[in-house]
Amino acid sequence: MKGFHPYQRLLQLALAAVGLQLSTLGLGQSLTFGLFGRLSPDHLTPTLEATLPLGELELRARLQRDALGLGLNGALELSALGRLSYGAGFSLGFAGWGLQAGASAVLGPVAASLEALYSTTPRSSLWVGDEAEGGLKLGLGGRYRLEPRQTLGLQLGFKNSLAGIASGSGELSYALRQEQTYTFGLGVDDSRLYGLLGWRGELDEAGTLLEATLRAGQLNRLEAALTAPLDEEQLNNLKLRLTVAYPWAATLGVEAYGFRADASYEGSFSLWLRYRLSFGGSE
Amino acid sequence: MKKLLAIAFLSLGLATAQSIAEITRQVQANMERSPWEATVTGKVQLPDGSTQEAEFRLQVIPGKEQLARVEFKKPAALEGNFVVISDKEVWNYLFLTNQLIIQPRAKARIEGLGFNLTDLGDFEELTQRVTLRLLGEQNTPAGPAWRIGGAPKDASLGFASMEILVLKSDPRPLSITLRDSSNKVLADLNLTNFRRANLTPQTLRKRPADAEVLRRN
Repeated sequence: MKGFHPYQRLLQLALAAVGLQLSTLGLGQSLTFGLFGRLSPDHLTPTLEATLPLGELELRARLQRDALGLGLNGALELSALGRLSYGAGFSLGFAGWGLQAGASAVLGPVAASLEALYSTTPRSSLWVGDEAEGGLKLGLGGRYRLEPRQTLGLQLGFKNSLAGIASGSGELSYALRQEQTYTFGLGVDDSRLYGLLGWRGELDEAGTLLEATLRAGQLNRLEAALTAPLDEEQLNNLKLRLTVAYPWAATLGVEAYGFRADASYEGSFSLWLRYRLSFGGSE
Repeated sequence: MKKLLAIAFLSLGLATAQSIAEITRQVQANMERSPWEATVTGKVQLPDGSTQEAEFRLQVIPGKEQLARVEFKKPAALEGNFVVISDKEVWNYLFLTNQLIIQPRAKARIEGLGFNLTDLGDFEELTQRVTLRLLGEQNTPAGPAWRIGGAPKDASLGFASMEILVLKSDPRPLSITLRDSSNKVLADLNLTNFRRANLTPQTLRKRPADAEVLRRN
C-alpha cells in the first residue's frame, strides 16, 4: 500500500476541489419488469428486478418463475481519486442454490476487481441472464495506468464445473489511448490460445461511441457496442450490443428510454424484453 | 492633534475595510460577467514532506445556475478524471473504470484543505467562510495585483491561512497559497490561460456516452 501513500494529500485536494468528503451514501432505487422466452427446451418466465436503499447499502432482489435472488451492495466514494464497491448475493430456486460475492476498487492509477460464485445448478436456471454453467467460478481483474495514455490489463479466472472439471483462463492486454483507444492482448482460455485486438472511439461530434473487441485464434469472438446520445444533455442513449462467436453463438442487445431487448442464439434461441423504471437509481 | 491623528487612523482603517469589500465586489462582478476557463497549476504538499505537481482545467459558467467543471491533467494517475459541480449535483467521472458517479450537492461537505477551487470565481461565497483583508500590492508578470490574506472562520477547515493575488486591471485571482498553522505551504496554485469562453452546460457536462452512470442518493 506504500504506493498509495502520496495520494492521501491528493485525495484531500480532490475532495476539497469538489467540496466533498469521504462518505457512504445510500444508493438509488429502480424496478425492472421483464419477459424471457427460450425455444428448445421451451421456457417462458416473467422477470422482476428491484433495487432499494437499505440504510447505506442497496438491496437487490430478482425474481423469476422458479427462482429468486437477494443481494446487498455497498460503496465508498473517494471523489476524483476513486471508489470501493462490494456486494454479496444468494439465489434459491427449484433447481438448486447459488452464492455470489465480489468487490472492486479504483484508486489513483490502479483498478482491481474480485468475484467468486458458487452454485449447485447451472446459474442460468437461477437467473435467466446468467451463464449456463454451475459449480465454482473465481475471477480476478486488474488495470494499471503505466502513464496517462497507457493502461495494462490483466484478467485471471478459475472454474470448477458441476462435473468436477477444472479450467483456468488468463488474459493480458495493453491499451494505448490517442484520439481513439487501441487495445492489444494475448489470452488463454481452457488451453485455447488467442490474440486480442480492440478499438474504441467517438464516431461524430454528438459523441456516438463505438467499442469493438476481437479475440481470434483457438477461441474466436467479436464484441461490439455502439452508444449514441439521443439528446444534447446525454440523458438518454441508444445502446446496441453485438457478440458473435465461433463455434456459432451470437447475442444482440438494443436499449433506449428504459426499454431493453436481448436476443441470443447459443444452441437455442432466446429473447428477453425488459422495461426499467428508475427512481434515482443506477442507470 | 491627538484627535486628528485618531481620526486619520480611523479613516485609514475604514478605507482599508471598504477597500477589501470593494475588491471583493469587483472580483465578483468581473467573474460573473461571462463564462470563463483557466488552467490551475502548482504544487501540493504531501504528508511525507515531498511535493506533488498538480494541474487542473477549471471551467465555470457563473450565474444563478452556476456550473463548474474541474478536469484533472496532473498527477498522471488522475488524468482523464473530471468533476462537474452544480447547485444540485456533483458528478464525478473515473476514467479507469469509465464510471460517472452522481451525488446530491446537499450531501457534500467540505473537508481536507477545506477550500473549494470554484470559490476562486465566487468571492462572495468565499467571504462567508474566510475573513479577508488587504495586505498590500505586488507586481506580477500579468500586471499590478492586490495581495489579499485570509483566515478561515471555521477552525475545522484544513488550512490556517491563505493568500490570494488579484489582478488589478482585470479583477480576477492569479494565485492562491494555503498554509497550515506552522506556516508550511499546503498548496501553491496559479491560475493561467484565463479566458472568457463560450461555454454551455452541455460542454461542461460532456462525458463518454458509454460511461456507467451510478446515482447515489
